[in-house]
Amino acid sequence: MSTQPTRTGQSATKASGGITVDDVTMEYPTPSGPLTALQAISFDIPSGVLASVVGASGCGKSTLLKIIAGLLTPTRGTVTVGGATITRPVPEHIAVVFQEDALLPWYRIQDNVALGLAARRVPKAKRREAVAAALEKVGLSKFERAYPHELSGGMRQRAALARALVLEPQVLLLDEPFASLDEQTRNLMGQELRTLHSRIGGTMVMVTHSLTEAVLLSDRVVALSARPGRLRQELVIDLPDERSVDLIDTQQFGDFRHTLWQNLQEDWLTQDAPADG
Amino acid sequence: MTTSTPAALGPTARVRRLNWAKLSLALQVLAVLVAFLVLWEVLSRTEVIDPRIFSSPTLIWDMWWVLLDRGLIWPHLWETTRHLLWAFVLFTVVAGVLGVVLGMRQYTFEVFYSPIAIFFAFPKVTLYPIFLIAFGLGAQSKILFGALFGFFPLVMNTMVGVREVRRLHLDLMRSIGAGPLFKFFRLLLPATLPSFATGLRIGFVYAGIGILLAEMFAAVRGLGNRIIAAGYQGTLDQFWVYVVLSSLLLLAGAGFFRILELRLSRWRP
Amino acid sequence: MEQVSRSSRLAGQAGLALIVVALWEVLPRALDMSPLVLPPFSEVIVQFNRPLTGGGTLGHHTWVTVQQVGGAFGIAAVAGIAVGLPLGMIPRVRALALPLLTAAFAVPIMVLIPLFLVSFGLGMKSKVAFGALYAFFPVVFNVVAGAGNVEKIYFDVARAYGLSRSERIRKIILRGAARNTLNGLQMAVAISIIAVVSIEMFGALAGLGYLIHRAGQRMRIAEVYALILVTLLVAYLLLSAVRWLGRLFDVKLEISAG
Repeated sequence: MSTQPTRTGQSATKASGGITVDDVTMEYPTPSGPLTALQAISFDIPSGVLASVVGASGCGKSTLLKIIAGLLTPTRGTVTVGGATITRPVPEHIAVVFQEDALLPWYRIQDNVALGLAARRVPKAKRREAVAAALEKVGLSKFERAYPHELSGGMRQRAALARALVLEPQVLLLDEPFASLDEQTRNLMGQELRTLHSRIGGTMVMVTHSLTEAVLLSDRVVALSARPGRLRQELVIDLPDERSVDLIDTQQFGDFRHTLWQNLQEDWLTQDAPADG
Repeated sequence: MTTSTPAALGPTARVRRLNWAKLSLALQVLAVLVAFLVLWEVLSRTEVIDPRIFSSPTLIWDMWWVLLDRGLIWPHLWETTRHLLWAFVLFTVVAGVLGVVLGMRQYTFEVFYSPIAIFFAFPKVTLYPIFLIAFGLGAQSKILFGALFGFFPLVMNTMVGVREVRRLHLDLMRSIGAGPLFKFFRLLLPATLPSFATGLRIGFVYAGIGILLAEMFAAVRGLGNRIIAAGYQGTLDQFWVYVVLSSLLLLAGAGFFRILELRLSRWRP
Repeated sequence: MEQVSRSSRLAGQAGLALIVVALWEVLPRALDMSPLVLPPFSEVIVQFNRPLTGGGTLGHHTWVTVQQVGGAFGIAAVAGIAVGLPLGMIPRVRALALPLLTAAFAVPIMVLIPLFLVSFGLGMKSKVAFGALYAFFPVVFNVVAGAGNVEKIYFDVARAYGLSRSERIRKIILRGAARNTLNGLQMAVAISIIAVVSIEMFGALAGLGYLIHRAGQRMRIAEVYALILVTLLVAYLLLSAVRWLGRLFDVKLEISAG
């Protein structure tokens, strides 16, 4: 496994993958008046950062991610990525990993991973190379010809990740990618993601409801309150680059987590307790 | 770093295990059929059931050869099969297109599904007099009637199949910048095919029933016509030959589509 | 997000019905269609005032058909459950029954109509017998499938609770098998209607199918359409009643098992 980015010149373009969310509001019409999912959200994510968006369920974090991805249009406000305003999906620069793996069950893993390349009309030979490389990065090289239903949840999500990575995006958006996995797999995948990020660079934004996961894996955390989703806090996580799981027991980690919890706890107290307390 | 979950049994081992189970089941079914035939023969010979009405496997077998010799099999079989194939093409195209169109939007699905289901459960044979008058005694009325029968199960299955396309996958397609043709061939079609294949199988059988009914009602040729004629003339050996023949025809089609259905559903959990 | 409310759907269906009726009235005139193919809607409605080609009253014939459907369904239900329950309890038999019945589906029972007419005559007996045979299959198929649930549930629950909780087990078993059986019975009603009306069209002395056949013979197409509408309505009412009963029974099961 190489530790160098395999693309030269990519780093330069990757450097311009900063995300700016400017006064974004999202309203849905309902019979009893408009429902505000997000309200006047503004924040920046500098290029090359691994950021998390956290908040209780229903705070609109997935909606926000979809807006950044160009899958939804905000009622007000704009999102820019790398300087360009987002009005629809930008497959050349932005790749999305969805909550459930979203693999097409009738295709083998290799064809699933190649899907984005096929949409781009990349010739078959180049597709195969790129797919092999991406599968290697996520550790699924032996499972090219398997069908999704033959793999475990964690493996499927890794395949979904490979599908996004193969497109060499400047920006990678992940919508609660580990939500359907058990705790151990979750931890492992989280570590792998961070390692991946340090190897290939680019901007990554991950939506998660786990404060621990957010602090452990990201350089920056954006916290949203619930109903309507409002920006509560932007936190820069000043922990060492090497984030081993033992870090969770340190004072610094605890402080970061605590400040997030304090800002968001009322949301959690007005509904069920969060998954990891 | 990689989790070591075995993906599955090796492919050959899996196939072998499945084939043996399927074979043994097929043999058991065959055994039951043979037992049924033997029972029929015995009950008929001992006159527990009236042999003039129920005939017997051996009598039917003899009569088959008699009719075959007299050239009374192939023309009628071909007539019915011909109608059935045309009806099949017709309802497949119409139900396929309509099923996709109506299934695509939640609203049209909800509005149209119940009325269509009601028509499916309605005795469509009552419409045949109208068909006769509108389209005459020829092939046209029979083909259209058969197509009417086959239309409903297929359109219902297609509508349901289209609805199974997940929002998640649609978002995925948008996020990779897929065009409409790409979406159709890579998402809509494969997702809908299993249900569509089920609809084809059921539709084929229903279309067959429709054609037979039409032929029973008013025709000069065809299996349905022969069945009614033999029935009313009291030559029930002949009657049973044609009944068995019609059953075999529909079974063959159903079997073919069942195999298709299973092949297309392999990726389903 | 994509949910369609019940009122919205009903409004849509009502609108659809109105559009169909409107087109039915206007198009035949506009396209100068032969009244032997598609008479305008008003012409069809008028038929209700006229005497029936087949004689007698609409009420009488409808009642004959409904009786026959009831009889066929009754026999099919009893026979189906009586045969299906013991068969379904034996796993070996159950495994066989399902592929056998799937194959039997492809056998066109409709072609046996002449046999029933010859054997049982033109009266109600042939209709009830034919309908019973036809409707037998969905009942037995579903009962066998439901019995399969019983086996599984019994073992799981028996292990968890111990046999002393036999009462609760019985209630869960009942629910498992009952749901499938109910489904089979509902299908049986629909199929009984189809079977009875179909055989009526081939040979009968009374009934809705008989009336349609007679009107068709005399080329009184407007009357045929009117009778079809009546049949549609009767079928819809019967099926709705069965569905409503089914929901009632479901609720009762929920309550009793709680």
